[in-house]
Amino acid sequence: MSRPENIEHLFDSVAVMALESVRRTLADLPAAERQRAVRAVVGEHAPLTLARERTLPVHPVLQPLVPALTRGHTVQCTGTAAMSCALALMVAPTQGGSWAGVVGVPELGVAAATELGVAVSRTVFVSALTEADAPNALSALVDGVDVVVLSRAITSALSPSLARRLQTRVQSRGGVLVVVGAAGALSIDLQLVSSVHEWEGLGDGHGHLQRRRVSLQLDGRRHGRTTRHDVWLPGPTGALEPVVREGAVVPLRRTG
Amino acid sequence: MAPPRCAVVWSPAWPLTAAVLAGRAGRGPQFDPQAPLAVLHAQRVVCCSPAAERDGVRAGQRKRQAQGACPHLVLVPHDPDRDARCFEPVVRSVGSLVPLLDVESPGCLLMATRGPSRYVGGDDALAQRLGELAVHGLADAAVAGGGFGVGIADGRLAATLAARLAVQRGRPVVVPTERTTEFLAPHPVSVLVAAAGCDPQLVDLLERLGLARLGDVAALSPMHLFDRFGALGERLHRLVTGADDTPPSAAAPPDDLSVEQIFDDPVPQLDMLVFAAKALADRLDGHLIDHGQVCTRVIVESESDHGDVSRRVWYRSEGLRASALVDRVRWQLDGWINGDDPPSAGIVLLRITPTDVRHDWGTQMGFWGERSQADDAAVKTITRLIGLLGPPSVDVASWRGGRDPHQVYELVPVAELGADGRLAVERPADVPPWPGALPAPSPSVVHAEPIAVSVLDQRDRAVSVSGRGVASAAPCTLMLGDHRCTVVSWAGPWPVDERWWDTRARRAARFQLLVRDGDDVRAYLAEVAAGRWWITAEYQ
Repeated sequence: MSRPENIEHLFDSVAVMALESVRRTLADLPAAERQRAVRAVVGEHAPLTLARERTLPVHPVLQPLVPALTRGHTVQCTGTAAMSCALALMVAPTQGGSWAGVVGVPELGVAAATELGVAVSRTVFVSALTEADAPNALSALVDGVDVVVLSRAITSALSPSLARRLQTRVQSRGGVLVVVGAAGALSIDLQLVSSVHEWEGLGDGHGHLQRRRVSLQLDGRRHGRTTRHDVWLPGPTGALEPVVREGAVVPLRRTG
Repeated sequence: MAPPRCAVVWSPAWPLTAAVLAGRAGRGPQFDPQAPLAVLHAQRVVCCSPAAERDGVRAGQRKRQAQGACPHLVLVPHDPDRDARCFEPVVRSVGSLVPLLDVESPGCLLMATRGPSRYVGGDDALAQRLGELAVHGLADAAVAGGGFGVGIADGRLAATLAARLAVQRGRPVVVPTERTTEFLAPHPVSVLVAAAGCDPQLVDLLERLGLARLGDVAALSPMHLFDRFGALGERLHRLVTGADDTPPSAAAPPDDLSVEQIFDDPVPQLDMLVFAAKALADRLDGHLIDHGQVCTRVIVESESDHGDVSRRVWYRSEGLRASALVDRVRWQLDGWINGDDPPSAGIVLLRITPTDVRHDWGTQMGFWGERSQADDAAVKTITRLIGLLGPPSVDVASWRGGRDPHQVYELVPVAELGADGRLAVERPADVPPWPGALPAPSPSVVHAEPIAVSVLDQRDRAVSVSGRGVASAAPCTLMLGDHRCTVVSWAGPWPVDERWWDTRARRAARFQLLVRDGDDVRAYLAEVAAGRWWITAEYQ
């Protein structure tokens, strides 16, 4: 049905034009020479993908944990700070010009997202999704945006075949799926488990919540070994901040 | 400032002429210019031959209407590249008299008359000569379409309209300087779309306001137009009164804007040149975007290894962005390399020099602002999602402001935000903080429907807040249904007393509660109103 549109996705007009002229040139050649010519042309024009184009950026504070998100991967955020973790993963891509789509998370705190640094002007929210609409809507979204955030409500309704199709599509389109909570039938490449260390700022009837120290743990089948990292998520302004370890205290030495 | 006197050479049915010429040159299917022909784009007639016009086919008709009017209508494919390639000889022929030409689009040339007119001996003589040169440029003069119209008048718009009139009359039209306004007045406002690149929605609005002719708009005071339409109104006023369409901020760009690519090995293929042009255009456009500018006129130059030069000036009133620049370069090079007089060696130099740069006032920008490839893809996706799910289910966040997390941003259906004007979604930087708003950080989960809970003190009695905003006791236990959590620390009550003057009045007190639930520590935003406790948000 939408075949021309799909092709349009794959090539920009210039590439299509180049292809067209190559096709015309090849048609004129005798069959014996054609194969050799195709080899030569493909060698010249084969798309060259750089390593940095296959990843999406990650917030500098999270980089000790994961230097970059590999396109095509599915990341699951669980634990007591799952939502904040998902938002933190959206920060760098949306600021870098990528778009994010949030599906089935009507409770997402947009104010918290902006404080973390998510560019909400490049974020689309799809709040309600019926089971019948899910396949088409999800694949449409995956085609057009780089980061797709799914909630448990969506993943639990995915059938294994749909989940597989969706993930194949994400891999071919080069996006990243971020799942908040249980992953259902989706197969997980990376798992980000968060546990809250402490909240600062709240007293016994006074103060207010200021910052939270979260211990993040990353593992998964695409990650060699389990890595841990502590961050302030959120920090006092609502943004991600690194935990700075104070240097060892050197006791004063009596002199004289 | 008096607008410069311009001449426009225009062929309304150029796509047809180009198709016939291409057919004769063996670069496409053959068409008989005497037969009823029509060029279609997006299911609408772009232009048609005189034979088709006699049968009732008109530009702008739907395909089915056109075929209904003329059943044996021959459809000609729409191909801007072909049009541009075939136009090259005409440009060269007219260029032999007037070297400084603006190619507005394939089929339309614009030039200043000051020098050439004196050289030839007056505007009338110039118009006559331009018409002859344009036809002379065609290899075969007996082709479809109404030929070329030549119009000379003050300013682009008047000259363009004069050229249109010239096509109908079959002879050049020269409008004297003092009669420009008079000449413009009776034209319908719809000519602004094609002749001045105005938004069709604007024209539609003008018509609905009862301003059917350019003269009606000209009769309004410029202040009123400016009040109603902003910068666009100012331009509108200048257009309809015959003043120059070049906006006052158009300044000669600094020299360093020109971008060029030198090829060490001469490049004979068009494709590779276009790839290089793409990089150049991106660089130029990126630089202009950084300065909030857009170029409206560029000179595209290329030079072959043997010193053949192709140099063209391209103009577009709504501004040339990267993709439009690449199109212009491709048209020009395609016409040169695949034309009748190709360069004798490969290309060694490609240079784009912007000559007119203006501030990008953003009227031509889409709803999403400056677009990248990702933005285009996202807009396509959003349109697709709206089609699949219905308009209300695809939202964007829009800043509203408020005391509570759920008020600060509102999710608004994309479809409700008209297609023009930029959407201010993020919090404007100059807005002072809301009095009584919760301090940062904000909760990451805001429940659409608050969850009913109960909060108990040390002796398991419900905690209440008095009318003066004092808690009856320190909260000790949070009951989530039957699940019991210990309150570790808390703060509050922070009273809200909103809209006490109307029926939507809300009086409540907010608490932040930090609770321990097994090994987990969770922070909630709770609200007590009329003696009942709710959890409105969670710091997850």
